[in-house]
Amino acid sequence: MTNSPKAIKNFPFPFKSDAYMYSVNIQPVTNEALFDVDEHYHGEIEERDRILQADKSGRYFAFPHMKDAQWDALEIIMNDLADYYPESFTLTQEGDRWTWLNKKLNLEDTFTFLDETTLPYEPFEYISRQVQEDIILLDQREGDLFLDAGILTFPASWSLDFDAGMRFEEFHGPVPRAHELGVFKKAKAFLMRVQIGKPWTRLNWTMTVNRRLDTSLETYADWGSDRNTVTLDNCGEKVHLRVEVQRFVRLPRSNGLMFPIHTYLISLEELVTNPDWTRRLYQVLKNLPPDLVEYKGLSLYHHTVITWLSQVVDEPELAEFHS
Amino acid sequence: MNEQVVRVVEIEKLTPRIKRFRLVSVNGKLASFSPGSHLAVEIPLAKRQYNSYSLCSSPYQTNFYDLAVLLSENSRGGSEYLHQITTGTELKLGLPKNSFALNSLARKYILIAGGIGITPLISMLFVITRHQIPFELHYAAKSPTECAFYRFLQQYGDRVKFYFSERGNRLNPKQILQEQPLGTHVYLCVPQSLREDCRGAASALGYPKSAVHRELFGAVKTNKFKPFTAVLARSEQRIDVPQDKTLLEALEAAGIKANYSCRAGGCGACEVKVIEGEINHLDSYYSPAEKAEQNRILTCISRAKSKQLVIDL
Amino acid sequence: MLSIPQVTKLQFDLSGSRHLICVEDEAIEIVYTRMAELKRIPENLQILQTGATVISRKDLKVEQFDSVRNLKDRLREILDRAMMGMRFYGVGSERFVWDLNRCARSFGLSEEEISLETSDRGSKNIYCANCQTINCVDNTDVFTCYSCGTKLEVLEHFSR
Ligand code: HEM
Ligand code: FES
Repeated sequence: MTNSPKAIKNFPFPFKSDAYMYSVNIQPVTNEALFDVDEHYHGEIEERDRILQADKSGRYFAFPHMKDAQWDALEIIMNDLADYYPESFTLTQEGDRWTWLNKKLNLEDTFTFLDETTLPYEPFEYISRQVQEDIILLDQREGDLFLDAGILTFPASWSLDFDAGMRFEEFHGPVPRAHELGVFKKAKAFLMRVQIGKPWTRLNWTMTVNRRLDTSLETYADWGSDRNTVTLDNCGEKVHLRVEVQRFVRLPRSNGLMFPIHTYLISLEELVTNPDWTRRLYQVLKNLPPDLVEYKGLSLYHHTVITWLSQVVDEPELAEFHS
Repeated sequence: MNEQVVRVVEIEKLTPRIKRFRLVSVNGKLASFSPGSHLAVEIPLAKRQYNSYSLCSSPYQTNFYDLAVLLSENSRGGSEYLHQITTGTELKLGLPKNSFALNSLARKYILIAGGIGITPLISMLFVITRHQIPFELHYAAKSPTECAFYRFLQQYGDRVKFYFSERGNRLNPKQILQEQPLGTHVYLCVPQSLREDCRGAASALGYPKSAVHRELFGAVKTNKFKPFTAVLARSEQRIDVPQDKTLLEALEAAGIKANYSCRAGGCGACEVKVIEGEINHLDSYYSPAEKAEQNRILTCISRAKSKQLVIDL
Repeated sequence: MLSIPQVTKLQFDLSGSRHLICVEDEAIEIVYTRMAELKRIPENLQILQTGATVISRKDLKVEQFDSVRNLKDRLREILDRAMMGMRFYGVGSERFVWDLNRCARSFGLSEEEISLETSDRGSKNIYCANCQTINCVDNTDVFTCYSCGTKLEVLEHFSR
């Protein structure tokens, strides 16, 4: 599975300057779908299904008090898909009788809104199996946000099962520097005030060896050692920039918060078709503080990638001069 | 504001001074809301204003909103306006906001209302009963005729207790709050003196602060912003910031390259150092201590208290 | 690596009207020390302890249990009938404290009503992300999961 030229062009390249540091990098979402249905839809839906079949309990959960939040999520996702991809998704509402048509998966279900017994899965699982995004639902109470439901088949090195029930600053526990910078306190204050109908977005990034979406802690044994295999020869093909487009959406009826994460992978080979990106990434990786290199799991191949990029960047010295 | 346009389809006089308005959407779908939410209603008087009212319909009801409005004596005319409109009138509404949300892990809810304070608690009842969580509602009013939703509340039987001052019934906070199970959450929508009594009783009984909630009515912004002048220290350029523009917008209009991300006072991207002048911080980003330092400003939202602000640009 | 939340020092919250302490074995010494720091011993105090009291005190009644399980049964019985105003304290190993904390939270106690202190820098619950087993081990940086044999690197990241 590689990216088409169109997917490469649309890749959410995350760097705005040559030095990367954590910040409360959030922006409004305007006139844009919350959920992205792209060329990898079928492959990723199948992969999600396979992962859930192998290990449902580690990858999906919803606490009992998240029932209203589940329906909120279903309602927002169905409306978003139907609004932005009418050729593939249709939602027909006759009072509480809703009919959902997903032409991509060849699936049609009629159910009663707010009546769980009329769907084949509970509402959050039902709908999240039909999108490419991992989704976390947070409960807002006691002046905090709690990770109280989620589906996570494509995580960047974390565990849903482990983080279940945690507070905002707790599940961010392992992140270096950001706590001291006050990033999480400020981000949380912001998120708790996100309003109905006014969603926000931010980008996060790391790198992954091989085109692999499921880099969960649960499967660490399967992919951790791939990081030893990077050489100057295979670097362009093996190493991928991994970018998460994250959204923050108020759930209207439950007053919870929805956090969808769409993960995009681009191989370095694909990335260097854009010279600006090449130069930027080269600079960012060179300037990346050692604790971030370590936290993002790049230690084993960081140098190889920089060397490889330096050979591709047309004029590395000039690029440096510009920074 | 004005995110939703609705039509009044039903008006019911709940008491001599309280009317209930049923509203349906004119331009599509009503935004869903959580129990305890309020929203702003535009009052189209000569001087346009916005009043906030709690929603008192069921959050599971998708076709209409109910609002209950008390005709208030010392109002700026908003409730008088609403009390004289007829069905068919169109109104403009903001989107629902909630500063009085139900704690979803409570094992029991105690709701205490005084007079018109009943409204947000009505929307809560729909949710609490759907989830079958134990509750008590204690409701103080002058008399049964002055008691909005009196008939509606009969369905809940002895879980609802009325206190009519005309009959000399008084609500005793200590009696209500003592001997309640662990995990009880208290919701207060009562006049200030009773609220202080309730909070005093709760704290004497050892209730933690986080278990006692009160309605913090979102003060609809009537904030009149003052114009000021930004002086750019490096170029000595002077930029006027009118009252209806942000500093960021004024900088952009003057062709100055300024950073931003959220444009809502939440991310810090638009921060600029302040060399001189007093800042009126309006953001949610800085801590109180950072605000007190008075040495940086978020240009997308904050303003000057002084006439001019010298900034490091 | 940062670790959050840290179990801090036991703090008696005298705004509570009842105080329930659960303590593991000798950790009761910690309770005595913390109490000695107070001006007066809180009223309506109840203590549940596993194992035998090291130093018994005449002024305090301590209910003892031969296992954590039995202590927890009694704890549930108490919490089920308890009224608002109760404060909960847990003192003992990390494993003991987090276990009882979870139990208390499930009865609706909020963090504000709970205070914990761990007695050990010794044993920890290590969660194996490979097979989702919880291992109880001594303080180390690397060890092998009992259940699946994967070699684990220990991160200071707490879970509920
Ligand atoms: C409410 C939704 C959010 C959830 C559920 C969430 C969850 C997470 C999780 C689970 C991690 C991985 C931590 C680990 O290593 O175990 C993480 C990393 C991180 N999060 Fe969040 N997060 C949220 C919002 C935010 C926001 C608003 C910010 C804004 C600053 C933020 C900043 C970060 C950063 C900087 C990292 C480190 C990422 C890296 O360097 O690869 N998060 N987040
Ligand atoms: S642009 Fe985000 S705080 Fe100003």
